[in-house]
Amino acid sequence: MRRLILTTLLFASVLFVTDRAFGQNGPYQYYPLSPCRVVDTRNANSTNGGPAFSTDTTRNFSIRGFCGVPTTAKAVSLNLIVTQSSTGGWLTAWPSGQARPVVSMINFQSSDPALANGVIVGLSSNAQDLSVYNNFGSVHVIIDVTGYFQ
Amino acid sequence: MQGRVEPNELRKLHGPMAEGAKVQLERIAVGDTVRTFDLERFEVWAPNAELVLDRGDGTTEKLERPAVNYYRGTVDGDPDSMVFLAVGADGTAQGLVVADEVRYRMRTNDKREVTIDESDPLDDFPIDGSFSCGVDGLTMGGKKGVPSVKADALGGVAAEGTLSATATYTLNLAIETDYELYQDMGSNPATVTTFIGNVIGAVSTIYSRDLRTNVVIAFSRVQSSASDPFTINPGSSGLWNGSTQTYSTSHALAELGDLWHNSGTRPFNGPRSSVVLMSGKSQTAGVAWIGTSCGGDFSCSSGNCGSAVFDGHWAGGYAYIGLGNPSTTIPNPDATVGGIQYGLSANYWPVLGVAHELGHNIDGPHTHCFSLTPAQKTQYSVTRDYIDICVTGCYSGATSVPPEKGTVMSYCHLLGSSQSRFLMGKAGEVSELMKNHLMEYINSVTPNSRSITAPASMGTGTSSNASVVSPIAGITYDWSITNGTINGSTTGTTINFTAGTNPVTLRVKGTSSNGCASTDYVNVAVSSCTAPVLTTVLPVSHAITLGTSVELNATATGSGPITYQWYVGTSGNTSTPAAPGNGISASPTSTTNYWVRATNSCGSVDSATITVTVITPPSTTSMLYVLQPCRLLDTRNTTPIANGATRDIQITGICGIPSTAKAAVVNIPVVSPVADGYLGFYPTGGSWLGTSTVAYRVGKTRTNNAILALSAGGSTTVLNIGGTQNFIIDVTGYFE
Repeated sequence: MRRLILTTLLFASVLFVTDRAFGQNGPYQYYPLSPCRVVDTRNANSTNGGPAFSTDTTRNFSIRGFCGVPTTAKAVSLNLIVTQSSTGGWLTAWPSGQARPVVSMINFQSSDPALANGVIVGLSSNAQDLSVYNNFGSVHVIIDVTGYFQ
Repeated sequence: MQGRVEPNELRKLHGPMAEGAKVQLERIAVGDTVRTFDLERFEVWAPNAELVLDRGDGTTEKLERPAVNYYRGTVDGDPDSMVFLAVGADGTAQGLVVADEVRYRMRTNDKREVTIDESDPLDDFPIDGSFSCGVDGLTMGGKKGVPSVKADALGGVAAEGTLSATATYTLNLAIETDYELYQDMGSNPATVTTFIGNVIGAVSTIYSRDLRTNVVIAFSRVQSSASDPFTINPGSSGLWNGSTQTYSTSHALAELGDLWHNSGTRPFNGPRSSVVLMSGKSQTAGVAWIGTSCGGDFSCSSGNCGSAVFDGHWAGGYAYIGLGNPSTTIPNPDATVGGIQYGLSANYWPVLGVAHELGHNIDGPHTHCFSLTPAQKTQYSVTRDYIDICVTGCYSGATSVPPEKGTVMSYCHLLGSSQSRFLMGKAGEVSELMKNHLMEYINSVTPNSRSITAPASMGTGTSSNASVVSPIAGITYDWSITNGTINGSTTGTTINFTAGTNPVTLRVKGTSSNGCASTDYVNVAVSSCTAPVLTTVLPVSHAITLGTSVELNATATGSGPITYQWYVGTSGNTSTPAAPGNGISASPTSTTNYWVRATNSCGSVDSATITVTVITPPSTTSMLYVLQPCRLLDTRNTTPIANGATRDIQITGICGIPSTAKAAVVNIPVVSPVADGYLGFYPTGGSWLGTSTVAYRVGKTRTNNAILALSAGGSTTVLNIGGTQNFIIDVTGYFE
């Protein structure tokens, strides 16, 4: 699997785009959006709502179709927020349907009331196009989308 | 064979126990059988009872209630059996047991064992030849045989109605005693009050079992001086109505009526159903007015009260019972245990006598004067013309005891001391006519709580009114509820209540000014139907991309089928219904509100408003341009942003960002936070959609990177939720 890593030049965040999932890997244009909350696990249980993450858990969210992200989007810029963590841990986000990359996108401690990190991450063509993994403890995850690439 | 009660069983009756509490005593040896007593704790004394010692010198003293707990019930559930137990504070007990028509005396002996002995038949009713009853001359007229004295004198007694199958009744007694009884009781006032409590307790046991009537004592008086107000000694002679007469119990009854009618000599002005004088004078006899309980006094003249003896005197709810010769009828000294004189005599004449005379007050004739209609004789398969023919009087002819023996209202004990049973009437036998007659009278003169109005059924948690009416004026009501809540006042003719679980029982006690009370209840069925409660409403307010659809879904719990209806608009606005169903799909083209209503047969529930924001993707594309990192803003050089404040920040035109830039790539350090909080950025002029860009924690300087969409004018707006805060914006690139 080839990974095109663009954004480490710019951010601490990571962009994964895979040719296997999309048939092409860019280049993509950026479309900025007014920040919009697309996932909040504090809400009632649903695709983009609860429940909270527990230890060693992966959940798949739907990003395209929400917040102005079109179904043709290939990647999104997100603000990844954690809150109410029971213990220290870390999250990874990646295009759903692929193997989980061995990276962390946000590291947090239980003493953090809330913590955020900006990331750019690719989306798969699945209806639930973004996977998020939590390695340890119970934590709520919030995703605010700030733009997309296509 | 002497029976006994195991100490462990009797111990169940020690200690505090609420009125009405049920307790079962098991393995009680009664005669040569082993029985079970089904008992109920009950109270003989009214809550505010007055107990008085009259010293005869114009002074009185308040007496304490006997330290006795009272229990009543039946043996093995036999409705014709009877148990009355008085248990002292020290655990000693005395009582009366009737099982299989045999009377037993139960008491603690000097070894502190509780024994049960069959009463000696010869000692049971030591009736002497002077026994008489002053109402014997009254004949049965009409269907119920109501003596004319009642109808003429009271006139206003409410008509009989249909007897409630559920009502219970209360009679408040005022008990008088005389100096002779005081002497018989060892001149001990406490012994007299204990005796009064035990006799009335036994009477209440009979009345509650057969007539659903509690007999309680509102007032009692003990006379410790020979100069008491009761001067008439039946059998002796004296001046009466201007001539010398031989006194009978009727004279004593008239003296009692005069004493209580005169407000100057009346010792108690509280509510009273009847006044009963328990006399220690020698004649074993009683007399009472018929059908006068719960009514007022009336004056007698020209023989209209049945005898010239009463002319010029007062009648009403009065009863006289002579307890007879102390040597044979007054409590056996061996009943004194542990310092308590329990006072139930070795025989039961006081119990029978008071029950009998009080029975007259509640309209009971003698059973040998209760004439039977041909239909009643056919119904009960009897050939005699009266309920019993134990004595000649109304009946003339040979006397005999009926197979079921006599009732309390009979004279059958004259044919054998145990031939009168402690029964007002026996179900299925002709004597039940007497029981029904007495109950109808009580029902007619007590508040008519039968007519409770309440809904037949309600839903759990719903409220309703209930009301009661009575044809008798001046009634006070007291309501109570089981499996529900009374909202506000529990008195008055109408209350409001909320149903709990199935079934609700509403009770109301109506008390008349003379202390006669009736308690009745209704059951209100409570449907198990519960209104819907929304458990899931999906989605929450959120934003979608133009051209996509949104799935609206709701789930509710509740009884029966639940229907769902989604609406467009704010919650409660039903003007724009969507397609019915709990799960629907909508494709709004602009920001739209939705809500859902779940309905079943017992109610509905509305969801909150869900706002679906529709966002149109930007049509212009942009490319990334990398900049040398550049500090665009540092509020430490200007002004920190206050909690709750927004600030517009120009991005383009600074750090080399052209005016055509669509978005900026930034790092945002929040410097030394003074509180926990977050910054949310959005394009100036747009809406903040509840997002967070940098979360900060007190004392920890943290940085987050973001791509900030810019307004057409090239600016961003930040909202700060937390503390008054300094922050920095460093740019590293832009999109255009």
